[in-house]
Amino acid sequence: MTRFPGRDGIVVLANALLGLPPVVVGRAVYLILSRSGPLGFLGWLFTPAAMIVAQVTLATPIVVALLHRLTEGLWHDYGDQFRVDGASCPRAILELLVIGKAGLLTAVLFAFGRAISEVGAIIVVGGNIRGVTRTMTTAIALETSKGELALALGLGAILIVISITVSATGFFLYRLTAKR
Amino acid sequence: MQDFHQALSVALALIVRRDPELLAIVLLSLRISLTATIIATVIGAPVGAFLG
Repeated sequence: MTRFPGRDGIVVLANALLGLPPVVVGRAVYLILSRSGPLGFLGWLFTPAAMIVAQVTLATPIVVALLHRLTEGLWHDYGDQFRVDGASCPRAILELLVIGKAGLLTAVLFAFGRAISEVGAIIVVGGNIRGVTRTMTTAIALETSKGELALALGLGAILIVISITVSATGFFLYRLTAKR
Repeated sequence: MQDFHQALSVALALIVRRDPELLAIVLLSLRISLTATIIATVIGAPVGAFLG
């Protein structure tokens, strides 16, 4: 919509971050949250909060890049209308997100898919502490390396069921919203 | 192969009787990833739409 200096830079950055290796993100978040890091005073390292920070870092570029692609066409179609109506920028963005809700939903599901299936970043910042920061993926990684297959297999099965459920939900909701 | 079958049946048993450790791990995973997804959407969607 708006052309401002550095806009192309942000677009390229968001696209580049899509392929960021989770371990690298984990390491970066670790350094920031560690005792001597800039946010060390929060004491978030090895807590679920740190894992959320790591996953937000991984998931946000997906949402940005997908929404950018989605709204590029929408601005083209509706941009003049917004200008005629004198809609403010936040107002126009909100309207666009409502118009493109099917695409927004896809982006949300993609982001969730990356978050739930990722192991590298959360194992670094969470530490895989039993009962505190042990998630499905970190438990699978640990149990498999210990050679204890049962828990890993059980969690793997649940993870696959969640993946399929999310994907199916997205598919049907997309159909529903795209029809209108 | 024997090991695998045994592990598979134990895995199924863990799911069927809703093993507390397994349940806690699944719920924590969902809690973390859902929270992260919501935050990522709240930040990312307006930025992405603004760039569009």
